[in-house]
Amino acid sequence: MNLCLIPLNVDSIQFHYYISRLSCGFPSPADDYLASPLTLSELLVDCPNSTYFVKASGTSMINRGILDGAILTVDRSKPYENGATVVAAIDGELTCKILDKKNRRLLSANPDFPSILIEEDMDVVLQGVVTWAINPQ
Amino acid sequence: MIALCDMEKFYASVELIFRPDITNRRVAVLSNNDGCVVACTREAMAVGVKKFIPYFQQKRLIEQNDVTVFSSNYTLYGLVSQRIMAILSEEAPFTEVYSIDEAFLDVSGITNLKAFGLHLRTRVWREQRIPMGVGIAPTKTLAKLANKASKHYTVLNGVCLLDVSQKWQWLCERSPVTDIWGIAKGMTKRLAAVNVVTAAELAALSQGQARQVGGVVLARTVNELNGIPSIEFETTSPDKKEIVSSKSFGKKVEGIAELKSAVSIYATRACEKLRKQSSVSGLLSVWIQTSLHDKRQPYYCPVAHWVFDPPVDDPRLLSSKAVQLIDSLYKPLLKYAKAGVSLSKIGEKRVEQGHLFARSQHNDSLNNVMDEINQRYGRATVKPARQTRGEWQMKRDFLSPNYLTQWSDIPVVRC
Repeated sequence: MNLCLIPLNVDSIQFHYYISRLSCGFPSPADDYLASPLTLSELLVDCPNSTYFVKASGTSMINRGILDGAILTVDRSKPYENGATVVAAIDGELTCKILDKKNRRLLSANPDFPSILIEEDMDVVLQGVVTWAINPQ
Repeated sequence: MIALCDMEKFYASVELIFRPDITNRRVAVLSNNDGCVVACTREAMAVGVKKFIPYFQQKRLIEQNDVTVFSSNYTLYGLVSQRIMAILSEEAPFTEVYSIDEAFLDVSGITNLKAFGLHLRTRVWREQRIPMGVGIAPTKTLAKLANKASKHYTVLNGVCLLDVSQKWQWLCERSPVTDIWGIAKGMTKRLAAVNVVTAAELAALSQGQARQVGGVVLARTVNELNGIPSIEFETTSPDKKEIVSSKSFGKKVEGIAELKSAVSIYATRACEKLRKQSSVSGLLSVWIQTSLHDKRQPYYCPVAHWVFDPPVDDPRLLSSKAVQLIDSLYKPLLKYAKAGVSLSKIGEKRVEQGHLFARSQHNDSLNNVMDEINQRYGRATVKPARQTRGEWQMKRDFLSPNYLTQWSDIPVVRC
């Protein structure tokens, strides 16, 4: 951009005015190593399109690190492996349990709560694998 | 070949995702202002609930039969739709989102199309809990017809493939013209006047005859019914919220150099789409993946992201960053089946120049604070004073929780 200043009583002087600043110092050595900052979603949510959040209510899973009131990330794209922490709809109620495929059972992670044997006439539908628990302190 | 994926009873199916307690699956969704029933499950239809009939006329029937009623929750439907579309675009090189619950996929080059269709259907059911029908054919019109058949003939398992002319002829003979995409009531009458009642009879018209009855549009439909593609595949409209470019490799890839060149191409392609709709992107995501079905190696599907602030639309910048991100993802000795690039956080490109005299008109910090409050405490917690609550606002007495967009609404799981 050219700016033209016309001082009084003096012949006009033309000079250049640059909008951008010129950096005169040594360029930052970190410039080539910039990385985006850490975010929790990046850590906790592997597949955003198949993940949803739920809130845990109750204490039957405390030995798996799920406290009452914890937020759980549930991913529907993960395989249902033996021993996985899963969300299952048991007779229509969303419940968090440990999957015991070998014995067809859903286990609790608290000795005070019984495990559930999946019988033929029961309505059990797996709803996703719990990938993380975020506990309030 | 083109696949049409169509979500079955979409609104009603979405309402069931987080409600396994509705064990009779009888669900009806009402239109804006709770006026009419606009969607219902098969189970609700079976007890006599009808679409497009006012709610108050069916209220007694609905209550007597223990049908659960919902107001339209477009926030929820929109987001579930986006998730499904994202999955579909991971699976096919080009997708055209045709409506909230339908998408055309370009599936040319895929060899076992029946298996592919079944895979799509299974994946969408597993990851989104939405039943989906798939119709695959050489043209859009036939794909639409195939999709209808996928729901009608249970033996097809929800996937109807019309790959040879005998198959679509068979189906056309059994379909009235009213089943054909783009044939409305008026046209049906005009066709009946010239003794055209079935799709097969329509397909048998010459181009001249078709043009006489229904102009270029009908002539195009006739072509399409004969397996000649005449309706273009639109990949860029409407403006996309996320642009994905990904593809399965023809042959498994082991070297980092090949992966880099692949994502560089995908990034450029995605950027083309971005610029075509004059948008900028604030988030670049790159992923690579091994085959889910390969038992000889572990399944590995990492994603890396890069935030651009301010958002960009520079293809060189995007592709060079995509290539750099591969370094953080690559593990040697694996055979990769697929790579992809996605541009999200997409916004309109604004012309903003210089900071010399004019200050930016955009009150970004205020908007950000408002967004943050409304996101945390619910929509319209803070709003301009002009937006007062009034009678004119939508009546939504049976609105479901916003399971996916509000922390206070996330489902509760018993532990």
